[in-house]
Amino acid sequence: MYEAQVTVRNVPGIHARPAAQLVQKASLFKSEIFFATQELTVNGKSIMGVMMLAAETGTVLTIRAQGPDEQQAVEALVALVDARFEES
Amino acid sequence: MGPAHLLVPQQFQVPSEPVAPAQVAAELRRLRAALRQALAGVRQLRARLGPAESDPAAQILASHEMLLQDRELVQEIAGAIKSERMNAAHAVRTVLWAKARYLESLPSELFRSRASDVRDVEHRLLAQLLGAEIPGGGQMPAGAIVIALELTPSETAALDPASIGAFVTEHGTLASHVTILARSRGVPAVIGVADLTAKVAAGDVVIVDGERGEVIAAPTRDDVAAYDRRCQREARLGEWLDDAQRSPGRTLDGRSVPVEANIDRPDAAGAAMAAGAEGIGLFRTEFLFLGADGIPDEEVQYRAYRTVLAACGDRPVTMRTLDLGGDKTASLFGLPQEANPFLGLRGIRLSLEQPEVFRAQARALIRASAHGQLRVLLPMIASVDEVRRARDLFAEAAGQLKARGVEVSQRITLGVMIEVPAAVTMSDALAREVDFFSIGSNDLTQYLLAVDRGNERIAALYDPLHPAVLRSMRHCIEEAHRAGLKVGCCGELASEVLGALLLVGLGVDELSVTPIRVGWIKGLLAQVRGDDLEALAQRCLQAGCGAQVRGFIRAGLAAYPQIRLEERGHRLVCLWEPAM
Repeated sequence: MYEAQVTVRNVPGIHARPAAQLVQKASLFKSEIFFATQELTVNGKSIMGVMMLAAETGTVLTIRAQGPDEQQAVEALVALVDARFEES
Repeated sequence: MGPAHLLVPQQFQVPSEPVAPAQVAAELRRLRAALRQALAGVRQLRARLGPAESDPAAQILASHEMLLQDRELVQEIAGAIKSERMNAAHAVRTVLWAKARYLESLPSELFRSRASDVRDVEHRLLAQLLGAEIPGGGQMPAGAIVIALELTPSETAALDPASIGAFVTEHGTLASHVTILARSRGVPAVIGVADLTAKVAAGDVVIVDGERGEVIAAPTRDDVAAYDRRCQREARLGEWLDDAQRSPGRTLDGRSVPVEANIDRPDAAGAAMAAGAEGIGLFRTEFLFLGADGIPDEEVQYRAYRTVLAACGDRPVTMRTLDLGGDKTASLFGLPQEANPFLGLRGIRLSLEQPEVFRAQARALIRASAHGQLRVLLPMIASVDEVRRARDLFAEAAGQLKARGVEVSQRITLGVMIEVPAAVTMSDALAREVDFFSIGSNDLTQYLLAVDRGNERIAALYDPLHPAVLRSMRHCIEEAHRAGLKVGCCGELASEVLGALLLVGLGVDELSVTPIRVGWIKGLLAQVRGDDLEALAQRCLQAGCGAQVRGFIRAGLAAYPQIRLEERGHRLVCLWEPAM
């Protein structure tokens, strides 16, 4: 199991396009992936799940993965959030 | 203005009787079939609309596609069928309703608005399962005003702006997808009108004013006349803009100022050309490095660059080499975080420290240059050494290509961004090393005035029309012209009315703006004399402070009544309506 935390920095948070990007990226990996906030833990490969997460700017997101490529997965997803989903 | 057409909300009678254990398998098959058909329906709608990737309609429909393919969601619905023996429709309603209700309970309006996507998907699935009408179809009289309690995103996306006049709904909010879609499709709309459906009957003549958010049911003759005049003016404005887009950028007294566009994705090039851009003044290459796959190889880059060049034909395309820095770069290149990324390893410095990566970009650019009029732009240049080293790396890249048997015919047209203050001071030396300058007004202003725009406490000090900035720009323009070079500006300043006017007055040879502003800026320039702008710029260069600059601007543009200026805080805001 591998896990890391990252703060959501883009404004206004993980809305439509970032949510889709997160799920698309998570789906590339073999490991099981979860995103968690204080309130909720969701399956990272489920768009419905990520929508329910409703992560706004400033939310600390825990990204957890379990499987053969768990470290790669977590790092890639952290980088995506950190890069503000390409919004500059 | 048009006849009201009432859209009756789709009511689904969802049977709640459980199914016999022997029928569970069949219900699961029905669910899967409904999912497939719903997905096909969304895809068809998307294909019919043909929105560009950046169009909100495309994103909204794409999110519906993702929902329909969400394995966990499907498993949850299937689970309800299996464990509680619900029929497929009941399971869909139960699960999706709960999700939608959860979303609607969230504090943030933006996230609440996603509930409409979940409901939209629910409606599609129920329509498939219960054999009802699929949303997204329906004929309407031309110019109809669609009146509804509320619209789903699919219904909104399916409304044909060519045939309907407007739509009005009783429910809905500004952040809702319906509003976003209306805006992106250019359909006038008013949302959130209380008791709408009670007050308007089918066939009534209704006036909808999307700008003012007004709906006039049963208009008087005066109302109709007033709106007729406004509609005519809108039409004239539309024609004026079309005309402006198609003309070359030029001032009233014939000074040529080509207006190009700034884009950051290859698929935006076509749209920029369609909007009248006379070239691409800035193609940002960063997106290639910020995607899912890390540092892109030469081939991926080449294809992207070629796409842009091909879309622009013989119009010039200026591509800026990688201009990244700060935290994004740190994770991508495995570098440690910096305490002060603004003044850190970014732009050309990063490229020169990562010669392998820079050469790969160079090879891709050199290969792509065969497909159009390419100019390469180097970011954050502070000295001549950097330019020379960059040129050397380009030469090495060309050598590598020749060794592979690739034909390398032309010499690359190379320019530098003028954004670091040192580049301004050294512009005479830089002008001898390159073929053109491009003023990066955003960063130039920040570095010169020592202001971080992102810092709320002092963001108000950011003033791109500060005399220091104007004088710096004038200096590098003079040096460039002395050496026979052209100067463009691709910063935000160029997309603003006052900015564009002053830049032209200072002697900038071309402007590069956001694509939607191309027509406006061209139209603006066509109504103003270059000589007046030059005189204005000269006076502003003598100013001792921002307030004096603003005073000179007011005086200098007084001869143009269509340009109205308003003081807002320390900024001058320009409201301009073309004289038609």
